[in-house]
Amino acid sequence: MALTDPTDWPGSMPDLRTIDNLLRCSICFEYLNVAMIIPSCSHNYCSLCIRRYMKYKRQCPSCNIEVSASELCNNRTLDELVKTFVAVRPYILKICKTFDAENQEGCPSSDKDLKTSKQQVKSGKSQVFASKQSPKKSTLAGHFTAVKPSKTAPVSNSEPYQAKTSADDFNVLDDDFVSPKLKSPSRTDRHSSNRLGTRPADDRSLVNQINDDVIDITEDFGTERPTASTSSSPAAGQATPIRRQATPRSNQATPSSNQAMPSCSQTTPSGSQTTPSGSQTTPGGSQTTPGGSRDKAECPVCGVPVPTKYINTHLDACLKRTQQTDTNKRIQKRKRIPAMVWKLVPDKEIKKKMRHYNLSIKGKRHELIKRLDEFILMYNAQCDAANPKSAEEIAKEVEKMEQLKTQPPQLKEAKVFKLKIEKGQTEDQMEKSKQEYLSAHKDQFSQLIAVARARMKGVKNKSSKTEAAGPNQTDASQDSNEAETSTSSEDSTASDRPVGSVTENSAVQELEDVMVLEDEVEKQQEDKRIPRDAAQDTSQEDAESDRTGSLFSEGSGGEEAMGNNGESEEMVMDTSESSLHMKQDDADLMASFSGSDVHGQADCRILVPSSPSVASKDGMEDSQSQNMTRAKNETSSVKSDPAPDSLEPLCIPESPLSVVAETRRRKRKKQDCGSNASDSGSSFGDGDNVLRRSKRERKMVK
Amino acid sequence: MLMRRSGLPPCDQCVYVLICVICAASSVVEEVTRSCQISPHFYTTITMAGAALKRLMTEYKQLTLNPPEGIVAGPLNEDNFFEWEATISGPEGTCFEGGVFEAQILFPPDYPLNPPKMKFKSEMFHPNIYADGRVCISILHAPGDDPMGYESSAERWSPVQSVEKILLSVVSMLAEPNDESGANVDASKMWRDEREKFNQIAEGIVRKSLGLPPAPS
Repeated sequence: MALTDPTDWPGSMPDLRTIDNLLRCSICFEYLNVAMIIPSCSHNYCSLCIRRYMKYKRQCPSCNIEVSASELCNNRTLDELVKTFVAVRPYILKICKTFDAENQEGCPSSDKDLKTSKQQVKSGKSQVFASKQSPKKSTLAGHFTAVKPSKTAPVSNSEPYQAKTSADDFNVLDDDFVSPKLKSPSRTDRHSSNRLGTRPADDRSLVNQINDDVIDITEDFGTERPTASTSSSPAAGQATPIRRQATPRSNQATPSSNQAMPSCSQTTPSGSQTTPSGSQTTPGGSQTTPGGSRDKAECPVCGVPVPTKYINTHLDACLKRTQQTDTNKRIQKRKRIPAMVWKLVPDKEIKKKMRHYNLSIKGKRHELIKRLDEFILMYNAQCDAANPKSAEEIAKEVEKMEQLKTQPPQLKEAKVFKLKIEKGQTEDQMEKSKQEYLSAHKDQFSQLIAVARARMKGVKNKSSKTEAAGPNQTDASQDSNEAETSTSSEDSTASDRPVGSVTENSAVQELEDVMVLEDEVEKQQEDKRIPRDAAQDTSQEDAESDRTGSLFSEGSGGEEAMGNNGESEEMVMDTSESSLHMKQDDADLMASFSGSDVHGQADCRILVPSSPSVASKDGMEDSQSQNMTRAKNETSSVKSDPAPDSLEPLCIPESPLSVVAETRRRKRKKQDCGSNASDSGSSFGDGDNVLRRSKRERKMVK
Repeated sequence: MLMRRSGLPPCDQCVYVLICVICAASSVVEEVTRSCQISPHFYTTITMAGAALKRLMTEYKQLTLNPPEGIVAGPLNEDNFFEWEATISGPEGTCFEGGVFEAQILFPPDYPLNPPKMKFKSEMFHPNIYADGRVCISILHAPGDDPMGYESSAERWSPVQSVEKILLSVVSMLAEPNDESGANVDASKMWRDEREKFNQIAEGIVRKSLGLPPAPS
């Protein structure tokens, strides 16, 4: 979105700023788009802006004069001006800036000089101007001429502007002879007549011979005329009227069908002309025709001299032509949709209307009304335009805008770094958004993983030294290590955290999923073991990918096969548990590391178990309760993953007992076996396992 | 699978996992509901209208390129153009001279059609500023709602006004309080009857805004 505003102009040219400002709508601060004038105060606004404002207040925003929407009038001259100015703007701006820069370097020349010179530039007389001006100013002209040729071959100096300004066909040849002021109205007239001329030609099929000719002509008029005039030599451009007058004379001798042609071609513009100035030029040109009008009569409709023989045929054609243009005009001026009092319109009526305009009828009543209202507003605004958009286009636009409003842009989402999971979403939707999030942040994740890996390496090296000193000391070193890691960037913790999400989502769904997860964790363990033994951690992913479901046979290869077994089981559960907590920590980051990112999983898993390890210190049951506490106490666990040690004191005192009690109750309810003994036994076992595992964990983490 | 691998009896294990899942699930639901309580900004982002955003961007550009004297204003962050922060320095030659006051400007989603809201974050004592910092000047009132019933339509908000004009009006309001429409009655009374005292309080506020200790009396 290229924003332009009046301050683009150098401060040394305040008048240009004023011009720029005057061509802007004071509601939206953009250049006027379909300018509408309020006749009573002559303030101009964009059609859409002022119509929208009229819904709030029926008055002119600038002077507070009372107006109704029906009073607004088109201001096509202003439209044309804006169009031209916007096209020319970059050039003028460039010139002004270079000039300004030069001015600042050298001696300052007055603004007025520049302005006058600029006007001259505009009117296509820069060459004259260059020769007249002092050397310094001629540099400006030099700039101008340097800019110009890049656009089009220089026929006349003003051409590049015009070529850009309009896709219209007004010929450039007149430019040298007619002053721009005189030129512009006729130009617009011709432009509009072209429009009117070509359009009806498409519609008509049932017409008589003469009319067919007329069509041919009108089509010629639309397409060929301009090319002929542009290709003609400079002499031909002396004045268009002359050429016009010449053609009828030469046609005098030719058969009837041909004779109809020139006259009709002249009727086309005059018949469709709306402004008086345009209609003056055509007859004026033909009236000056000397001699040739002896056996000619002037057509009362179009004022063109026609051979008396054919005056009736011509008149018929002429009248038909004007009639048709009238109807066309009516079609062109699209009818506005009248305003409605929504309270009185039943749902059915609204839906009918919306269907009629191809608007979707989804949503509640107020949404429908809002949509239809917006559509009517835009439709009515488009009615003012010279080439109004079709209703379908507008309908599409309205719906697009609505979508944009209801869905915040993707870019914003990415910036906020949020995963979009909402209430009432199905699992599939959640999964989908998760995947989207993952793919969107793949780079960041891989970066984080690399960081985490590097850190892991360092930790491992350290721990290998301290391990020999015994478990207590290891604890301490672990703590210190963790303290280190926790101080590292939050990003890395973010990468650690999301592990849970994977587990979580699946865990909520099915027990089987948890089993799958178990597999994963086991793999993980294997992975961890391998690097520890082999003292190389980079091969983790490879190892993981090679691994299959039968992990334990490998795992038991270690010294403590049984312990491993129990541990791994326990770990699975704890991991899933803790990961669940983590999920609660931050719903946003929840799903981030799903299966799609294997590396991420691998790395994160390694870090996760640190929280159970903490738990183990506090004894068997506390480990559980603490986990639960953390589950409830999201705020504490929101902190980074390696940090739980530091959080521990906070967690413990917070009603672990009640949580435990509740867990127990649930357990009892759910347990199929129903025996309290096995329950407590299992929890005891858990505690034991946790203890053992935590030691192992520490090793692994290192 | 579970049975085969675990040393524990199968049901035990299953139940354990199940319980974990259930416990967690309940708190998950809580958490999800909690996180769904969307911040107020979220709504502004949703309803961000294209026209309003474009116009705010233009105004921001103009304000940064040609800032009026003693005024700095801009959006708090580029994600949300509908919440601005403005810093206004007290106009010279008034009791607020030297002070630097922070204010928040909140734009409605249909911005140029409806006026923004302005609120001073720094403590203020002024006849036209409510105790909570809200600014009460006619340019911020849409024509139609006239809290005091005296403003002419001409001086109220219309889309042709701009942030710059609002801020300039606020500056001139600081310089010349309008004691007829007292938003802060105490301040307006004091302004009218005990100008000395008012000036003293104003000085205190200026010092406060600069983080200086109160002047020794």
